[in-house]
Amino acid sequence: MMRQLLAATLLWALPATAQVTYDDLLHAADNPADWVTYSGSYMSQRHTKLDQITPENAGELGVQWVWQANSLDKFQATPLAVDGILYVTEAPNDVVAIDGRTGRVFWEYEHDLPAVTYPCCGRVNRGLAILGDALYFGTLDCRVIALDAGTGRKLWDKQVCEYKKGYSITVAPLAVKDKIILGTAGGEFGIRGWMAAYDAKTGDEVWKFNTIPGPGEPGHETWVNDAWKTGGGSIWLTGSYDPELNLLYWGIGNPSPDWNPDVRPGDNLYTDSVLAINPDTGKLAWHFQFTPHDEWDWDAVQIPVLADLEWEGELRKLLLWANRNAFYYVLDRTDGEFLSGAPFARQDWAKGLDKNGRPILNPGRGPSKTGSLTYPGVQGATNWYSPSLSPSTGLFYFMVWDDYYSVYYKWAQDYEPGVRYLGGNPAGVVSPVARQEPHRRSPKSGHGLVRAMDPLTMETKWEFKTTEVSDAGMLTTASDLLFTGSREGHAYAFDARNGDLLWRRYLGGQVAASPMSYEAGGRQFIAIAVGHSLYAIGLDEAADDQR
Amino acid sequence: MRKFALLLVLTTPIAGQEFGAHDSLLPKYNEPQDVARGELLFRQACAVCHGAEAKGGAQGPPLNTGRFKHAVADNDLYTVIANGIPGTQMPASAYEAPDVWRLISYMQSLAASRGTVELSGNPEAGMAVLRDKGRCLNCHTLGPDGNSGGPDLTEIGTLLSAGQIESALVEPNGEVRSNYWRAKARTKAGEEVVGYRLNEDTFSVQIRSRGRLRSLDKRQLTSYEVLTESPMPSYGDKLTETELADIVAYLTTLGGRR
Repeated sequence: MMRQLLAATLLWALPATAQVTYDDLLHAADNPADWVTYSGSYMSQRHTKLDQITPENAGELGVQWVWQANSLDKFQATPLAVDGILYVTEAPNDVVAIDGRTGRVFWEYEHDLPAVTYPCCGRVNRGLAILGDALYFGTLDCRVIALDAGTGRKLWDKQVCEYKKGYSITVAPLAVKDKIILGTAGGEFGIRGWMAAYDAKTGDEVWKFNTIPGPGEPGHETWVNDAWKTGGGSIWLTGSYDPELNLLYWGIGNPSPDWNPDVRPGDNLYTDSVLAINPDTGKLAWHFQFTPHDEWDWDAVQIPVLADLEWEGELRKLLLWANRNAFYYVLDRTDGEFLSGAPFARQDWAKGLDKNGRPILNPGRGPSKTGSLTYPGVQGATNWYSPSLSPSTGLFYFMVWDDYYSVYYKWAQDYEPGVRYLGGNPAGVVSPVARQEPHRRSPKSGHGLVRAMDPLTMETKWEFKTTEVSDAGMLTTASDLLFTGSREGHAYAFDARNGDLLWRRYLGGQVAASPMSYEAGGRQFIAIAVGHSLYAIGLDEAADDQR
Repeated sequence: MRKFALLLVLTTPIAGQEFGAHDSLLPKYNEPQDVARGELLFRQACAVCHGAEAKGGAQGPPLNTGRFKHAVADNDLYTVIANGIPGTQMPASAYEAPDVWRLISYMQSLAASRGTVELSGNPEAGMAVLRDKGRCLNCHTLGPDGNSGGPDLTEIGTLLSAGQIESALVEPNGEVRSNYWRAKARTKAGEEVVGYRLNEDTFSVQIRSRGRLRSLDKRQLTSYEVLTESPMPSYGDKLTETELADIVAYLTTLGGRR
């Protein structure tokens, strides 16, 4: 009797849902059935070792199920997958657990958000972190929340900033060891940016790093007056982690005000930089600034792709970065040494980079009162959408906006809390957001390119040109497929080796997210948010199995 | 440059209809400093879609015309700015009431000044010019009438300012928006198709050719180009000064809630 009772108790006590350990995160790339962090693994290569779907059978791909959100806010999130269960945020701050095999919902957490919040560019959220049995995310009203993955009930809820002053959290957090790491958005509201780590069990703050250094902090000398108090330096995309070096790599956003640089002389560290930060202490190990004294809003908010490759005959720990400013950089991630950098798209703001990777400016390309036409435009030659590095082909895949310009204006503006602090405006022919609506691009005003590039020589191996630009990220597979999407509403599968278009489907909404892959019920799925829905793409089953 | 006296379109609320819970507070926020603040707020939050000086942008119509698709009275403008327009990309805003009124003051000041172009003219006479001498309905639709060769004019008063309308009549190729560009294609079967490009992606084009909707598969075309010039003739020499003033005055009355 006691034995039976004990057995029954154990059955109830065993966690029936997600259990993701730090060790699981460290080895995520080797367990491709799951997708346990925003970029798939700490090196952020957005690559899956699943190979059930291949170039040979890609013709049999079809939409297997759709989860439709009620929210009409932009769907920018990447879902997580554990044991065939998907966890994703519904814009902006609801969370849902979805059966990855059928698309049906287990539970939904509804967040009570104030009517007015202050995101710059849509009420968005890019996803969750998972550690242990808990899911973690940030909200537009500046809270960090932990939910139980089995039930969706709240475990803890911390207020970490003042949203009425323009702060918000849109980034998918990164779980490292026993901490949850994220930062604040708000570069268009004159915030003073920061990054912080919270204890995963309690939500207590462990450390905080100011992305805009104050008096006495290193880097403060790159600010001349009080402009640092409203200096910007936001965080809105998930960083990467090297466990051997014990360093986080994170991209930092634009300085404020975006388009009136006159009020903030100096290089404005650490805006538009990559930071290497110790995850235990929050101390800065090194930084590299891509666009000093930015005048165009070119956030260095891109995915830091880590790769261990041979550079001039020696295996080195590299950091690959296709930047919004139209330059592609290769850095040594041990100490931030600049190895190479060159333009990958049409640009006219810089003559090139000096031997330290610092841009040599072309005069007259900054914003002006009457408007300056400059390449690239404000959204950049690439942006936050995930690139992919395939260990199989060795190529770096990313989304390029080419022949794309904006006309940049500047004007005087005083700072007011909670009011957009821009100091100007970029005008252009590419709209910042595009729901499903007719596309009527001018042949002269920019187009999209899916580019496959050698990560060290920058040689283009193949390219696919699209009429419209695209906000979609990339996923490569071990079977040499590349998945991505477009603003036009298509999901695509390419042969990653040569760019052959193997499959596409028109799914009726803008793709403003990055694809991921997981396994459920023994089948491989590719999930991607399109429009206001999450689509699961997979090989069509035999007719009998579909009934 | 032709000069025309201004014809203001009054925006008084229609008797008996309540739009929104607010009485118009515009007279309280009409000083020069209010208009200046309205301009600053507009640039911060609105210009990105509606263009600098509200001339219209990549995603939003001009707001300097004095006529609006979703508003008649100031109260309607208040409602639109505060609440957004559900189902469209126009979002709600977080501004306090006085700042919303200042935005409206700024927009109305643009409508009043219309840049350097002043208009006067008789809209009724203008209607006659449109239908008779101008023969505009040979190529344009207006309500149920006309032919759909060129853009529909039914709502034109909310889409273009008077100055832009005048420019379009005199210099049709001065600024042709990508909405009105045409596409010209030759199919593998040998057919030449020309029509208004309504939508386009990497693989297909949706056009309206001679009133019919057509879908073109780019893989089935031997040639495809987007034509950025307008086939519309210039009316600079075809109409007298008075007739031009009259037709512009008439076109500015078209569209918007009644």
